[in-house]
Amino acid sequence: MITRLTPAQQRRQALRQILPKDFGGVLGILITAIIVGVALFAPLIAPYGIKEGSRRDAKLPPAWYEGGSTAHLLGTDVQGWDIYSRILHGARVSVTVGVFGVLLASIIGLTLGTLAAYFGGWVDMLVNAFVNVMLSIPYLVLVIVVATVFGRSLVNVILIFGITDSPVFIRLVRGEVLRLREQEFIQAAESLGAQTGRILGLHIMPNLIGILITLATFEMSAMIFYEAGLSFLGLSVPPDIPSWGNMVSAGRRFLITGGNSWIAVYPGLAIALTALGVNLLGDWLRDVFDPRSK
Amino acid sequence: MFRYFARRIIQSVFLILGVVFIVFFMIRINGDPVSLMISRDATMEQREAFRKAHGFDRPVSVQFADYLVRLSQGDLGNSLQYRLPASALIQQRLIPTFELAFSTLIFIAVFSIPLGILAGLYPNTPFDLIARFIALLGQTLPSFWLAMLLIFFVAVPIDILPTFGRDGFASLILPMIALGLGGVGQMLRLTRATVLEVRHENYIRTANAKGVSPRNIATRHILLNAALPLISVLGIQFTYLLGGSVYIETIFSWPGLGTLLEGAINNRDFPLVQAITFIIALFAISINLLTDLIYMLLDPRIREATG
Repeated sequence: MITRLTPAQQRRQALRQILPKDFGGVLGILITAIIVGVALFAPLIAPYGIKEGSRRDAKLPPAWYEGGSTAHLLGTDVQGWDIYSRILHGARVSVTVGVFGVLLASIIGLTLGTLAAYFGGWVDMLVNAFVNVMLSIPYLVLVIVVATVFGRSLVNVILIFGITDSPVFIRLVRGEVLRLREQEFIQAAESLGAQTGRILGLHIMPNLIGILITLATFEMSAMIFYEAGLSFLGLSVPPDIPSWGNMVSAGRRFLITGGNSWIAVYPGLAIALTALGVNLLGDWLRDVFDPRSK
Repeated sequence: MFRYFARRIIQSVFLILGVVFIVFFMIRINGDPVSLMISRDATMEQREAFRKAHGFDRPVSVQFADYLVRLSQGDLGNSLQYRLPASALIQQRLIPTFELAFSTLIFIAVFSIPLGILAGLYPNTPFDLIARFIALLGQTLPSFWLAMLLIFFVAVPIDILPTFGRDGFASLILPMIALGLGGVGQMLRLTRATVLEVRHENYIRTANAKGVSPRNIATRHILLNAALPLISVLGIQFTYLLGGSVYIETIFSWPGLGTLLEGAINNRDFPLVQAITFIIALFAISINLLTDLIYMLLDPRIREATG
C-alpha cells in the first residue's frame, strides 16, 4: 500500500535523507562551514588587523602561558602581530585557493575529459599523454617546481593548482563519460536522434555531478594542504600576506632553541583542523552520492 | 605475459620522454628563461652574455634537440650556483634520500599493516578505533608541521634524538615519523578496507564451511589475498615519499635531494632544478613499473590472463 505524504512530510523526509546520520558527517559540515564563515568575515571577527602591532610586543606568549595576556589570545609573532587575528585572516588564502583551484581544475577536467571520451582518436591520445605524464611526476615536486617558475601571487597559486591538479579530474570525467555512453538510456537517447550537446547536458552531466563533487571536496582539502606546504617553502603568496604556511614557516627560526613554539604551532593547527573538516565532509558526500561505498 | 611486460616498458619510455618535454619547457613558460635565472638588476650586456654562454640565443628546437642528446649521454646540465655538473651533485645526495625514503617505507609497512589487519579482522574493537584515529591523524597533520612539533616537544625537551643532520640511526627516527605518518594513515585505511572486503568473499565462506580453523583462514586465505594490493600501494607510497622529503629534509637538514632542490630553488639555479625534477620523475616511473611487474609475477590470475 502506498501512503500519500503531505508536502510537509515529504519535505521532512527528503531533508532526513540528505542530512548526515553519522557524527563524522555533522562534524565535517560544521567545521567546513565555520572555516568558510571565518574566511568571509575575518576582518569583522579578528580583534586586530593583519599588520597591527609593534615590535615592542614581539613574541608575547599565548594567554595561558606565564606572561601572556588575553589581549593576544594566541600570542604574537616576531613582528608583534597578533597570531589569532592572522590565523583568522589566513583562512581567506586557504579557502580562496581551495575553491578557485578546484573550480579551475574541474572546468579543465570536464572539458578535456569529455572531449577525449567523445572524440577518441588523437584527441584522446593527446589528453591521455598529458594526464599520464603529469601524474608520473610526484605531485609535490611538480607543484614546487612550477611555482618557482611562476611569481608569488594569489592568482598564480590558483592557476598552478588548477592546472597541475586537473589530470585527476580529466581522468575521472573521461572514464565516467565512456562508461555512461555505453548505458542503455544514453543509447536510447542517441537512437532517438538527440544531439550530442543535449545528451551531454541532459543525460551525462547529471549522472556525473555527484562523483565530481565528491572528488572536488577531497581535492580541495589536498589543495589547502599543498598550498600550506608551498607557503612554508616560501613559494606561495608573498610573505606579508598571512597564510597558514607562511606563519608556520616564520616559526622555523626557533627550531634550534626550541623556544617560542606557539608562533608555528597554532597556524599549523588551523591547517590540520581544516583538513579534518573537509575530509570528513568528503567522506560523507561519498556515502551520499555513492551508496555502494558504504 | 611477455607482451604485457613489453607494453609496460614501452609505455614507461614514452612517459619519460613526456617528462623530459615538460622539464625542458617548464622554464620557458614565461617566454624568457634568462630572466628567471639572472638577478633583476643585471645590465643588458650581462643578460646577453649569459644568454650566449648558456645557449639560450639559439632557436628553441635546436636547444631541445641539444638537451635530448646531452640527456641521452647522461649529461643533466650544469648547476649555476655550484658550477659543477648536476649529475655529480645529485649522485652525492641520492643515498641519503633513499636511506630516508626506504626506512620510512619500512616504518609505514611495519607499523600500519599489522594494525590494519587487526582492525579489519576485528572491526569496532579498540584495535579498530586506534587504527582509525591514527589514520585520521595521518590524513590531517601536515608533515612539515608535524616535523616541527616533534622537534619542539620531543627532541628539544628530551634531548636524546638529534634534530638535524645525518648521523646514524638515531638521526633517522624523527624524520621517518614526520615523513611517514601520512603514508601510515593511508596504508592503515587501505589494509583495513582490503581485509574487510576479502572477509566477505565466497572462498572465505567456503573455507569456513569446510571447517578450516579461523587462524588458518586469517593467515592463509585472508592475508595472502590482501597482500597483493598492499604491495602495489607501497610502491606508490615510495614516490610520495620522494616528494615529501623536500620538506622533511629541509627541516631536519638532511643532506639529500630535497635540501638540494630547496637550495636550487632559492638560488634560482634552474638547470639544477630541472635535473632534480627529471631524476625524481625517473625514479617514480621506474618504481611504478617495477611494482606493476612484481604484482603481475605474484598474481597467477593476471599472469595467466595475459598469457
